[in-house]
Amino acid sequence: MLHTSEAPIYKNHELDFSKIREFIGVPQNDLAFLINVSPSTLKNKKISVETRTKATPIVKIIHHLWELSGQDESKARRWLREPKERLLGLTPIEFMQINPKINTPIIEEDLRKQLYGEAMGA
Amino acid sequence: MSQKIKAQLIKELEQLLGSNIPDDKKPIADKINFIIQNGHTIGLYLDQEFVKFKNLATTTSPKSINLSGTWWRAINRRYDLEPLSVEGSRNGSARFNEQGEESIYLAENSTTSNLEVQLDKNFVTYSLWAIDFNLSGVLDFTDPRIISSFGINTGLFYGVWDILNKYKITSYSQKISSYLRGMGYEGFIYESTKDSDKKCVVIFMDNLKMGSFLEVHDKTQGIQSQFLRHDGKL
Repeated sequence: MLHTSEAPIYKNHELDFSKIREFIGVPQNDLAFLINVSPSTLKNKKISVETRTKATPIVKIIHHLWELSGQDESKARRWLREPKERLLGLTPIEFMQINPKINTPIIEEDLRKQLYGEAMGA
Repeated sequence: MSQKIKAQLIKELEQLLGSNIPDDKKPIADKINFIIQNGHTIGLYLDQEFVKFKNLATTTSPKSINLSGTWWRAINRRYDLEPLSVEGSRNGSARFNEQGEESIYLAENSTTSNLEVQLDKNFVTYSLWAIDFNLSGVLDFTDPRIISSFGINTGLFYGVWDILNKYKITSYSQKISSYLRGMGYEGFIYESTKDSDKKCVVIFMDNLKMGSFLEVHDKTQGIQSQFLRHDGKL
């Protein structure tokens, strides 16, 4: 179960993109690229429904990482930067950057599988 | 093509290929883009290879064998209270099952079982269980004669599957497994891809016949009795 209030990416119950950027450890432009919005959009205090929708896969990734890492932000950040054999040796961040629209939901699914999936059968 | 459109296309292509990807990773990024752009063609190729197998499988009927012993299972700690749970296979695919196909994987020893874990080992907690079992209808794909009688393409059988699944492409190994499941086999023995010369078995839990069973070896761990043993009912 996701405890949205626990992941450290909110301010007054609203998404805070500076905290998201800090959590996954990428510059503002890279985060904008991953979410598919302009960098200036991330600076807006009022977040539109469209931006929130586009950010959903990244937000889900953070929630899964928060749970899997035992609420350890640095461990979660490290996971995003470790090469994975199943991603042909790319890190999750690199994998997402190839094609954010397609690959970011794939990383979210990959983490869901880590949480609930079959352990063996590599 | 106007220079303006050409420049725009090049810009989009550069973005697609990942301007943030380090140079040494570009070939991998290219491979992934190839899968994204050619998913349909890859699927057709795998289908063709699968049809070759299927044609041989319908004309030959290699004998299934009995297999029994005490082998090892790794299981996501989430399902620890039910060491014979198939929830993992319901929730995620593996080399020889698509998501939803109830399966249990065992390895002949605990080391191989540990190596066969597809979860991120430094990140996800899992446990190892010794499982006593008796199976009456499994194929032995560690026997080269069985492999050749089915005409199995071992390169594809033991090759990449996960990256294909990520783009909704069913792997060759999963196509073959689904077919054999449909034929009523209880599973098959295969060579570990992570521990050479060691054996694993994938068990199709929905195909277990009467007399076949799996049972948790160590009964001292406080597991409720109904979760200690699974008997075949077909």
